Amino acid sequence: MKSIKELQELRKIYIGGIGIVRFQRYDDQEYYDFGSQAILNCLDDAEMEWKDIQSAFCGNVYAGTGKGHQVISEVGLTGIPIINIEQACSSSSAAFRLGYQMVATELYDIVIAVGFEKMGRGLLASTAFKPWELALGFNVQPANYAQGVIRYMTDYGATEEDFARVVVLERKNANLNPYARWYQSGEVTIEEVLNSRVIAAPVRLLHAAAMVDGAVAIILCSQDKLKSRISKEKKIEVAAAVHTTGFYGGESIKFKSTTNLTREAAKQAWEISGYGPEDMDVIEAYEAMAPAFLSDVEDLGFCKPGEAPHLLKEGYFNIGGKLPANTGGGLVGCGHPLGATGGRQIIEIINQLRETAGSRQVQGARIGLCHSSGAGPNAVVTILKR
Amino acid sequence: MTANDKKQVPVRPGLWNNDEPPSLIGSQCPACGEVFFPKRERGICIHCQHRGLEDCQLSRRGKVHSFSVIMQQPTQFFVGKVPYAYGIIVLPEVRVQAHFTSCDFKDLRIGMPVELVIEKLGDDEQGNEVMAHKFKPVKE
Ligand SMILES: [Zn+2]
Repeated sequence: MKSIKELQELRKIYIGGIGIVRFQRYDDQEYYDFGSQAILNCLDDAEMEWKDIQSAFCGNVYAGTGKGHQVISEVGLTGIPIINIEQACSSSSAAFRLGYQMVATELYDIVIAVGFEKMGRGLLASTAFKPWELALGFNVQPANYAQGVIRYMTDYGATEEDFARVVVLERKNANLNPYARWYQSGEVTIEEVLNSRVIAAPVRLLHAAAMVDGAVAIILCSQDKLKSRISKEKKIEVAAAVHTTGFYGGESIKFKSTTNLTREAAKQAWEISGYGPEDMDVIEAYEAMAPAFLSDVEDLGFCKPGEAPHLLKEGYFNIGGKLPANTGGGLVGCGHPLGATGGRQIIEIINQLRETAGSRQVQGARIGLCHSSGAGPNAVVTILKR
Repeated sequence: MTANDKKQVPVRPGLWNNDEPPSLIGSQCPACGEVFFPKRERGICIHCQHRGLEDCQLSRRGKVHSFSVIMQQPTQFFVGKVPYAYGIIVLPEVRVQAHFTSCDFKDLRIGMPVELVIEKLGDDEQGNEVMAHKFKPVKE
């Protein structure tokens, strides 16, 4: 196993191109239709052709056997290894990390990480719970979030208004993001959030990321393979890509202690990149339910436990604030096609560092962090720099 | 079929014993002392990886660590009725996930003392009464 020092000495890997399709319902398309469109958009951005791609890493949750193969067979059959990766909501950020490693360790020079999801219509069948847990109704994801939210309110005095402010921020940012579900959809107020239906107290309907379809693709390559003007002029380097899963004493509610795999992933990412929280210009924090944003930024080390609500209130995480967060709208503003979300978060950071984020641009952003998490549990932390 | 013919079946075998009053059954690791609930069927300690966990009886009283009230039907496999409340109870030995019962869910509070009861969750497709471990508020 490579030491931190050896990881730091791997060759530098850059973003060759990015592609995304708007996150929305694609009722008249299958996953391989809009999934292959994201790949085509990525190839265009990279000014590459499919035959340049040497391996593909495909993140998805719900589509069946050989799903990445299905998507890629719409684009070209070149016989390359195609790997399907299911890591729940962190599938495509885990795919990105695998692709990064393959190029960093010089097995390949150009790879593509893909994420795509056509979400089910209606209630989703969960395979992450045992039959007796389903019989007891322990599989309600908002309720499992809510347990943490209740604790957070009790431990730190956070209020329902604090959680509503996360939604207000993200829906405001989503207005500026053409790829978001809630693009140009108007802002929501604290009152609207507080008046929305309770799903699992204290989690409300407007806290939840909308179920939409979507797809993303990112090309990773060595420096000599960069081709498009933007990828060379605004060269984005992967400074760290870390993946952790549950360890005993981890955040699973089943166990006794409270140590946390997000903290561990952040710690490793700081060590490998040589950066710390104070160096970040823009971040993406994972929140399928809005309240999670607050504990995430704390676990990632951007402030002390219990401080995030206060910082949020004073505009710290706004575009133009000290640490702009979820500038594209986050999961709440973009919607959440599980297998595409992690890659979408990484693409938002890339757009910020390339200064191609349009009206939501963070001025002078040079270094950014992206945090994804997913059932399992999984945590993936990626640091990118210009 | 009369009410008396109804068979009572546990939501999962082996969660509690038949003592009066009943207690939950956990696994304890003889090597590192960790306790698990439900008991680990493979008998392996996921803390120190020792093989050969031993059954242990858990305390019947604990405190509410967290909770949520669920307002909508979770899946077709759910045997109980909506709304329902579940959460984490801290027993002296280990944390346990369970339903709450015998209270107005609005009165649930973190730190509230609670006690184990075995109660009907609902009826299964064969008309059996499905029983589950639940916790009810008690005086300190
Ligand atoms: Zn042990």
